[in-house]
Formats: sequence, C-alpha cells, structure tokens
Amino acid sequence: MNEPITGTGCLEWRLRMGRPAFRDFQRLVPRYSVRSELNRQLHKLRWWNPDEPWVVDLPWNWVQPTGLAELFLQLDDGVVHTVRVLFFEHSPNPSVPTLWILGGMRADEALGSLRHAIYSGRSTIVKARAD
Amino acid sequence: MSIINLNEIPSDAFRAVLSLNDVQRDFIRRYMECSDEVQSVVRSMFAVIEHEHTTDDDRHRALAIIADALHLNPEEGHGSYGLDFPRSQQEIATKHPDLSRRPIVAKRLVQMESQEAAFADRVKTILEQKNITQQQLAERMDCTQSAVSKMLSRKARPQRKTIFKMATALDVAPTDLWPDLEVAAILDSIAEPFNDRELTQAQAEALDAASSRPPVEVKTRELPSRKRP
Repeated sequence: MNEPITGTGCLEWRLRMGRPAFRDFQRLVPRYSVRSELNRQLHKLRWWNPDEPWVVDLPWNWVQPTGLAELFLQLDDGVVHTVRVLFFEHSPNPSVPTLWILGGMRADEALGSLRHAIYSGRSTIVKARAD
Repeated sequence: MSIINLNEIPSDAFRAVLSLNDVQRDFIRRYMECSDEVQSVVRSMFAVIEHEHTTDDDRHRALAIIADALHLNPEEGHGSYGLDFPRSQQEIATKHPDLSRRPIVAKRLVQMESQEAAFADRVKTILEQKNITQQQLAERMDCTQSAVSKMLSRKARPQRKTIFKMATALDVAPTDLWPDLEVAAILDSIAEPFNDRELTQAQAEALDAASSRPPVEVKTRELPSRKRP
C-alpha cells in the first residue's frame, strides 16, 4: 500500500499480529514489565491516520518502496531505548479496516535489504493467509 | 521439464529422497502444501539464514517466518491467520502457558491501569486549577487535542517523554503527573551504561586525540653478542 489512504481521520483500525511478530518482541524485550509497556503503546495504532505524522504521541513513517510503515516508540528500558515496529494495512474484508503488526527491532538497527526481505516476506504470508 | 520415463530421474535424486527421515519428509510435505507465494517466502528466508551478513537476530526472525509458514508450531489463534491484538493482550493474564506467570502479568496490567488513572486525574486537576483547556495544552505540547483527549480518557498510555513534555507545558514537575516516575528514573540511571551506544562529543574528541597521538617510542639497545669461544 504505497498510496496514502485519505479520509481516515475518525477511523478506528482493527489490529492483528502474526506469530513471528510475537517472537520478535519476546526476543527483543525479554522482561515482561517492559514488553507490557510496548504492547500498551502499540494499542495506539488503532488511531493511525495516514495523513498525520503522529499516532497520538508516536512518530511513524512509510518504508519506501515496500508499502510497509514503521512506528517508533521509546521504552523505559536500559537495554532497548527505542523500538521500530513494522506494520502495514491489509483488510481482506473492506468493511473491517485492519492493520497488521509485522514485528519489531531496535531503532538503531539498520533496515537493510535482509530485513526488508524478512518483513516483506511476513506481509506476503499475511496477504496469502488472512481472510 | 516433464519426465515420462522414470529411468530419466537421476539416481542421486532417488537416493536423496530415500534417505530422508520422517521429520524431513513432513517438512517437505508442508512446504509443498503452501501456495507459490508462501513457498517463495520460505526459500528467501533460507537465503537470509545462509547469507554471510545475517545476524543472529535476523536468523531468528527468518526461522520464525519459516515455522509460521509451515505451521511447525501450531498454536491457537483468532481467525484463519494471526491473532487479534487487543484480545491477545486481554487473554495473556488468564491464558499464559506458564501458570506461574499469570499472577505476575495480571498484577502488571493492574499497575499500568492504576498509573494511567492517576495520571489522568492529576492532569485534569491541574488543568482545572490553572484554567487551561485541552486545546491549549495540546498547542503548548505541539500535538493534537485528540491526542491529549485520548491520554486523559485513558484510551492511550503516554510515553515517558510525553509526560516530561506535558509537565513542562503545565509548569509542574514530571513526578506531579506520573506515579513511580522517580523510581523509574533511578532504575534508568542504573541501567544507563548498557544504553551508552553513542559517544558524546567530548568522548569522541578524546578518542580522536588519543588515536592521533604518535606511538610511544620504545628505547631499545642491542644485546651484547655472544662470542663463541
């Protein structure tokens, strides 16, 4: 989805997540007390608006040319300071607009070609299997 | 390529198939059941795993995709694929596979709700006392009124830096807004060395100076030669 969706100001998205994303977060933030903070922040994606640069108080960007988007959130953790969360829009049922959380990494990790392959691969599986 | 005569199949291929164990056969069966797109993803993940620049984290990410694609770790989900995120968060306290973790998770969820409630109450009180509207607060914080409203109605948990920003906007101490903030600050300061990934300007200059210093001259003298008798 490279083209921004417009007119979604009042929309509330349904949030879904694949198993690999859970594995990412468990590995990235092993302490539940911190991971619970991350999970709580991720709820804000329900109010994602492609026309605005912030989701409540979290900045986000498009990851060109993949059609994926990245959300940045700070954790109160001494090990992982900022997390980049990859997500994309895929709504098999157009009446239920849905965002998929694909996974996450430390924000200081480069999003190079291998990681593009990983997250694009996850989005391909979502498109092939979600209904 | 279509093979009509079985004799055309290389004998090496036959031997390879016959030598597969049950796990490997099951793996291939699951792979063959995938759609072309998913098979392509699985192949590209093997390429990621074998790539010379792949990190340990990337290898785990790629393996998680292969396991997911081939249903190697079937787990209960919500719907045909994946999990409903809010529902999974609600269920984590009651359906955590490790029973001993359930009370810990439940306690943490209660703690977060209590923090958010206290924050919302404190900010609302200060707004009333100082006669500031949510819109004015949003303007001072350079965010939208909608964002402020979501945080004060406990629909969205503020980030730590948002609490500091809001405290500045309201001219109060951050600890006046968020319970436990002092404890969190102490924990952060203890953990700070682990987070020190970037050098400060002073550290960088000191490092440059040290690396540009001429090597220390080591004075040596020749050892007296031994003369054989």
